[in-house]
Amino acid sequence: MTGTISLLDAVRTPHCRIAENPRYSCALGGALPTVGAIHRAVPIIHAGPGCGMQLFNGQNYVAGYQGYGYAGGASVPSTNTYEREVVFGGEGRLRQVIGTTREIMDADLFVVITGCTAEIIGDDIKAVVEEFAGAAVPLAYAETGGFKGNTYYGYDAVLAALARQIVEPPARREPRTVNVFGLVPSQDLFWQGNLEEIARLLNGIGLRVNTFLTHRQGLAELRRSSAAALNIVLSPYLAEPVVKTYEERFGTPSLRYPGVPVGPTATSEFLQLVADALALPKRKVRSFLDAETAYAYEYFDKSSLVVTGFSYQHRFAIVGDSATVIGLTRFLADDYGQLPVIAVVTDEPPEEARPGIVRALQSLEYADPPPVKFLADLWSVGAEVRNVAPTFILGSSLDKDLAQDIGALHQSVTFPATDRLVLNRAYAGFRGSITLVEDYLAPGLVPL
Amino acid sequence: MPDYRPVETRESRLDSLITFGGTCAELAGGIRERCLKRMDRSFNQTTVCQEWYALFSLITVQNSVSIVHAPVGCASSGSTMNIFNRMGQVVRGEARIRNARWFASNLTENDIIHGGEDKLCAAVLSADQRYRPEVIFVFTSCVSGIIGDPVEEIATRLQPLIEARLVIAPCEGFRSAVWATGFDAAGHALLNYVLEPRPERDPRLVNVISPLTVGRLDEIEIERLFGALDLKANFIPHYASLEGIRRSVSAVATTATCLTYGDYFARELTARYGVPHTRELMPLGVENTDRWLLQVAELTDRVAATRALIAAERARIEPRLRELRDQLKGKRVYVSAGQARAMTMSQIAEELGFELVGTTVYHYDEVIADSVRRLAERSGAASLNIAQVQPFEQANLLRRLKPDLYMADEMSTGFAARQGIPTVMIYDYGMNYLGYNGLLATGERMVNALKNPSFHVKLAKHRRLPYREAWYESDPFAYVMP
Repeated sequence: MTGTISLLDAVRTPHCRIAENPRYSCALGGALPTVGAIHRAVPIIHAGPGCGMQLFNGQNYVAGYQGYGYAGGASVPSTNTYEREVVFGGEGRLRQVIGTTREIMDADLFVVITGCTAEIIGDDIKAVVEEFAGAAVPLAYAETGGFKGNTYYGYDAVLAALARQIVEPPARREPRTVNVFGLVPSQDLFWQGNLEEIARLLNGIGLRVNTFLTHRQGLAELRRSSAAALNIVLSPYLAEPVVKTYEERFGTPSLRYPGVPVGPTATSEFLQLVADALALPKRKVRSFLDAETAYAYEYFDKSSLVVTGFSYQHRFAIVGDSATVIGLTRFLADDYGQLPVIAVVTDEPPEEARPGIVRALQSLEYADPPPVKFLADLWSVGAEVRNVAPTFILGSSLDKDLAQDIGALHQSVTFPATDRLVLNRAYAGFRGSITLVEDYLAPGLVPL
Repeated sequence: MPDYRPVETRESRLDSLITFGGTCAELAGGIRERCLKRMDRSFNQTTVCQEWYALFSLITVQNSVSIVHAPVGCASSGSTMNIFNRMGQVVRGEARIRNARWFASNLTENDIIHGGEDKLCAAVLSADQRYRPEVIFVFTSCVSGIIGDPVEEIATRLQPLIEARLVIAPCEGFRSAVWATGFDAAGHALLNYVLEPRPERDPRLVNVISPLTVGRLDEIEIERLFGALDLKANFIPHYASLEGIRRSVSAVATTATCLTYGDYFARELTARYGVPHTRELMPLGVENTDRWLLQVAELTDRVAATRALIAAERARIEPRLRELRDQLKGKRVYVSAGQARAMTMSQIAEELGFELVGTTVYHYDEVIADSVRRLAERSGAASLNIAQVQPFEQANLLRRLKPDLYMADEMSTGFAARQGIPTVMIYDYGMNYLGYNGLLATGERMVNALKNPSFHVKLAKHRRLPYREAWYESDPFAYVMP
């Protein structure tokens, strides 16, 4: 650093991606709710004293107040490493806390997840964890130092680690079982309801479904998930390390759908892709899709009183993670007559995934393709959104100020959301799209 | 020239402890004999670090931007703090509610190797250009500390390039086991970078250092009492303007709604600017409010008027207090909170007529020594746990003690609920706890919570805490080690 000029240059350097009001936390922040969502799995944090509560507050709490989970919040075992460990190493402390955790915590699975300090000081986590091999309750570990990546990275790291360390070779194949990946707990506000709806639909076409994160699924489902006929990923890029691991270890094929399918058009397309991949009986699938579509349209027709009666058609901007942005944009544009004017993708997908995301967002049946921006920083998002003067912003609760400034309606549909409680609400699938319609029409009706 | 050294940790400055298990009388005995030892636990649950509390202390300052020099996760609770920030504006009747402004310098693997200086500069310059704030706070982190970024040097070079006052708060999480060090880190930063001497003294102005968990209704109660004494309250640092914070050097006295929070800042205002300060913990409950007000009165020469005010207030609330006492008589209560609130909330047992069966205090230091002695005289047999939450110990204690009511914050109310115990949240920003009216409001919430426990009772039938049955049969302090 030599003076003003070089300082200002530094601001513009691509590696200087600072984050104002970031819309995700770190790798450990993704690991915590992911382990926490597995039934009776308990995370053991190997990190500084404050990581657990910082990230509980920074993930679950601000994702529509999603609660502690089984062993979350202040109950997560943690090594709470201080100066002594930073100087002399934290392996002894980790060994001690793993030992006492096994005495106190009631779990089917323990997963050691690491923070920045443990990784910078170079603790050998693998060696410590291996000392506990063969114990009654299995112990896995994932390296999730916060500096390594964001929440999404942490989700991938945990599931890939479990695929390597916990999933067992199949006793026999189950041709009608699928595993579903790609929805990150708390980072997708509606992950729980969405996974429940996706599972309901896949059940409807004759499949058994492992989500690992809902339906009280845990260790047993993980262990025998290698028997599944197909790994389904509902994201344009996530879960690549996990499906690769299944492919290498068990030869499991995978099907990637770019985002959460929302509404009749996308959901039918998605279920048809799954049915084709598994050669499911065509008539049975067709009749299920017809019944679901009829159900949804009965309600869309009812919503017509508002949507046609008030001419409820908005130039909408959408801001959030790629899977939600794709799912909602496609439904609102392809099925619900709304006008997308910009899509801002905030989860920083890898470069190679970006053209696919743009394609998914711009291949719309009727609507003009919206510009697609990849930005995580609040100020930059605001500048882009203002430019296109939307009348409705679908984003996080952080975007309320922007909506107020430009006089647009607003609904929180992406992380973080501190202005609503989210429990089993879903936007995915057929039933979810009906809920989305209720939420999309709500802000316009609030003053009435 | 600012004092670049980080603030002394609580354990070094005040011999703070975060581990103790026993009774209130045993803790008082340990204090008396000066034989309290710093102990550790061989099992730990996650807690809060000083960086969190330093950020929490300054993020609501008006026209400010906070920058956390760290990987992105260390700023993630900004969204949680923004809930307080927005709530604070709502209860103040602001027409346009605005978000707090915070940045992460977003340190990644590359910065661990090459240093994070460029990113810190980028964040500071961007914050200044985007918002033209009056003040930019920079908080350090475990990572910036371990990689050794010279944050103060960088700040010295950056300051001439920006319009905002640049304020550095060193607060690496691993350096202190006591999260209250973060309060001091925030105060230290204001003292070093913001305050300047002023010639004038305002004989009516009293600084009231208040944590963000003391809400607007509590401020209104204090303003009401101060109004009766012809005093003006200068609430700092939350929602304060930079001028409000600077004005603190010209006040006639300083007090704190939570001495645990305000201790360091108040001491230093006295040492550096000659503004005297009070040493009472918190104006919660009749007796503690009396003591707190009288100390303010002594420093502002209003003792006679204050005695009259206290007598009038006591007489005013006594009829309602008597009704509440009748309703709460014999109810067994457990309190869990930060040290000042834990002590004062426990001491209202006598005033509200309930029985205190146990208290968890988030840490212990000499700030509450007198208060522990007084509590031991009345509730010596009550269980006393010093722990920065550690809900596993509490789960064991609650199973044994079977209280009728559990009073704490949202870090643990949900856990007690799973044990079927009705709860009262004692840090709600939208509620009143302090002063004479606060005692009545607290009593009323306790009565209400006891009136309909259906949520808690039925939840406990269907949900459980994540501990093995054997744990509940073990000594609750079995994992405390010397």
